[in-house]
Amino acid sequence: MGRHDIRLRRQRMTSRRIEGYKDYASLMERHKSSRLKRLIKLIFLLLFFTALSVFAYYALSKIEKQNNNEPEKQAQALSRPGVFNEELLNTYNYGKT
Amino acid sequence: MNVEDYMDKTITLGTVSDANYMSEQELAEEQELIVRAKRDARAFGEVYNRYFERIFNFILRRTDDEAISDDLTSQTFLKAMQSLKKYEYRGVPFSAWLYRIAHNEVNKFYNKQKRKKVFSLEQEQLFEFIQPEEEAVFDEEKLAELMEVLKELPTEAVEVLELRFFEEKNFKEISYILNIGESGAKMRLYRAIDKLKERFKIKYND
Repeated sequence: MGRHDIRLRRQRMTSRRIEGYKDYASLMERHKSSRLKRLIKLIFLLLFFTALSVFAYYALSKIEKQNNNEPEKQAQALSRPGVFNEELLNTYNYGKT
Repeated sequence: MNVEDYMDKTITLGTVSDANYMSEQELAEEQELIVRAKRDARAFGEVYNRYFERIFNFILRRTDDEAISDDLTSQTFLKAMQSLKKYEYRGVPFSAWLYRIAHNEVNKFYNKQKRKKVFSLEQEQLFEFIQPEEEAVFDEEKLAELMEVLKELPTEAVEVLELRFFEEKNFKEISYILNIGESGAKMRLYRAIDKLKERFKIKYND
């Protein structure tokens, strides 16, 4: 069994008959509606990607803010003068261990 | 029927006419029309009127169904309209670009439908290229034998045969339409003719 079929047409299709299938007006309509559909699709895609980038920006900035805040607190805590001095010099119990 | 029986028959493949080949001036005029159509969709109407019949016939030969051909022809021109701005002249007539879209649409249709491909050949046109040498006309039996031989050929070879002998395309256009190399198109055709030669005596002048 072949991959294709061969058929024989006794008569060639006439130009007049083919002419009957011509419908340029409907083709133009389809073209216009497909352009509109593509435009709507493009707008939705643009909106989606804009929303996605805004969301990503806020999410990243929030994470970055959190990351920036945490070491700052630690640094502040560590760099506060005199905090460890009491422990190092053991000033709580006047140098007694 | 065995191979020896086929060897008795002689078929002559005539030369392909140059009727469809365009001159440099015609190509330039056509390109002007395409440039206009790119700017104004309404100018595409002229392109549509000029090529509708040829594309419809091409698709009908590949589907053997008028309703399907109508749909696919319409789809071909719609695709052409949508991507006309991307079209670039590649040394072949604009019709080759349309044929390429039509060929892809037909392939898409068969892949979707999971149907066996059909080649519906016009008897009248077939006789212009294939003639028995001994007798003036093909009788039914010989014609049926030829159909059987064509059925056994690879589909890709029949596609090239059809474009060469029924659409009268040159190898440059065939290679563009089928998206293969020119040498590949020639190889497919010559292999097909060689296969036909195994069973018939063929004279091919190209």
